[in-house]
Amino acid sequence: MKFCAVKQYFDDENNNNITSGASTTMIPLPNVESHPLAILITYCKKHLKIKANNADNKKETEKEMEQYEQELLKKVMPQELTELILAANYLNFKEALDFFCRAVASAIQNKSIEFVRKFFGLESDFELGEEEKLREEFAWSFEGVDED
Amino acid sequence: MEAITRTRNAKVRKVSDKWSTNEGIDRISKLPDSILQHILTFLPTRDAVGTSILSKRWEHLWMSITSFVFCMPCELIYKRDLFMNFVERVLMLRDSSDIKYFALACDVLCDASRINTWILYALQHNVRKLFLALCGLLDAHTFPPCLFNCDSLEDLTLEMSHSTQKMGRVLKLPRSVCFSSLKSLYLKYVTFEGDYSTKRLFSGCPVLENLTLALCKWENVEAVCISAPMLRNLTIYETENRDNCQKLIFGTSLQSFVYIGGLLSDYCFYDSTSLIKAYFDVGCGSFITERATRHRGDAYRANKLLRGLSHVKNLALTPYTLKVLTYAEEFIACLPVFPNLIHLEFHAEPMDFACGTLLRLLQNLPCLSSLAFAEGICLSTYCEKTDWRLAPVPPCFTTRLKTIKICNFCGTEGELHVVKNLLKDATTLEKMVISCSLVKFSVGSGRQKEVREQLLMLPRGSISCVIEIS
Repeated sequence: MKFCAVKQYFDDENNNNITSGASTTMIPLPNVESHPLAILITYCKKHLKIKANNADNKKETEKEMEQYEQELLKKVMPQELTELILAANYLNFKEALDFFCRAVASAIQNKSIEFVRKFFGLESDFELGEEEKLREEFAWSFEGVDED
Repeated sequence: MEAITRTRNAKVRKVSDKWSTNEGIDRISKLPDSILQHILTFLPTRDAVGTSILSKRWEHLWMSITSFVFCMPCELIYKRDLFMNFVERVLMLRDSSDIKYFALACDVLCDASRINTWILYALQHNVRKLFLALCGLLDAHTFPPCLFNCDSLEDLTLEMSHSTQKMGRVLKLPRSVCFSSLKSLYLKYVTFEGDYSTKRLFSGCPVLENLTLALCKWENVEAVCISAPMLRNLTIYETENRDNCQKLIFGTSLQSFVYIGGLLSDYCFYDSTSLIKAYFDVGCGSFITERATRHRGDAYRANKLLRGLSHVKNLALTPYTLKVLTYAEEFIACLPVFPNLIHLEFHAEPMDFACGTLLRLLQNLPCLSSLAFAEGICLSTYCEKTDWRLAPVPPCFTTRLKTIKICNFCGTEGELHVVKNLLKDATTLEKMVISCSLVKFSVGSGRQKEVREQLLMLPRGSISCVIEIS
């Protein structure tokens, strides 16, 4: 089961000797909003389906999965990305968590700090001169970044 | 909307386009530290450390990273100071957690001791995978001795070269070598010091499974025994330099063997019955120029090596390798038999069916089930009145051969003649797969259709044979 947090819930229930009719049990997920949950469920189903279709061929599975992921990224709203990451983390859904984190990493790779700040909606809270010092210390990091 | 000039990763462009229209909203700060650090693991080291400047919260997040790739491109040599300082500060400021992966690719020049300090740091932090590609090494470079006695190391890559000439450097080994956890070892441009030193290296790797020796030099070594009790995969890339070093390979657990090189030294197998697959390419490799003349010695060595591969199930050769065998005719008559060989394939160039050695070899493959020509076939002696045929028909053609695959098919008369004979004689054939050359057959040309029809019309010795053409 991909959603490890949910699996844990089932395991715990069994340990308490409560019969759980899987189709009718309500599992409380207080930290997950309904919209990101819906996207994660779709992602999970798609992943399992692609895996089943290409049982022997790992390369095909990876290729199809990549295509699906690219399509998904086009549809996901930026505000949702954080929610998706949080949801995937809470549900302990490793593949989805890695995917969305990778997507964020790709977006900021080799970009200038100003770009990344804008991207995340961050403001610098450094004192005057602190930032300059850091820039000098890690000058190699800022060599040859992409132009904004 | 900002214009983003990066051309790679179109999908990312879409994400960042949408993000930048909603400026000012903090999207990231509600994620916990652990997730931000997880995001950092997907960034190159340079960028991950650079996030330090984003805000106070981010200043120290990168310090928990456990994988480091420090690469200084040769063109940026004038920025060398920046790079060296960067590596030093990163190692100094990070937390004390273990390092999983440490990669360093740079020029050493006069900074040998500085670089040794970094390697020592990684070793002291129980590094598991170490990659060192060091250029510009001075002659007498010595690594920290504990590099060769590291208990945590599972994967080691060592590339030692001298500036742009890519000449090897001598690897000086300490008195004791013990890699108790090392499973994979990749050595490139390494010049071995001597017999004793080389022996110490290989006997110091008790759990070694994968060994690759690329462009290494053996001029100081008379005889070497490449043996490790659990060695499964051995790959050797060589140059054209003659080194008079006898190489004995103990293959008790060896499953896969790859040799690409000039074969100017002696290779001998001792017990290679566990071998499952092998790739053998003499000369005409991508970095070897074709030799004008080959000698009987070459044929002898090629034959000896081939003999060591006689237990494989899966063999890949090149047409040129077969040609080398012909330089001493007595060897063709006693080519080894391959009793377990199920799959045979040819790479690098089209296989010329006029080559007698090919037919001789096919005779010695009693269990051959599948035959493939990755770069196609040809018949150099073809003329209109040719009487070339498969004579005598190899035994496997009438007992076991099920699949023949021909890639890069050009539709020439010679090729069609060969295919005609193959179809006629392979009476147990189930499938003939022909993949047409993309270069020779432009899309939509009538020619491909023509050739397709010709192929489908050919008489088949096996009733159940299917021809797939693409």
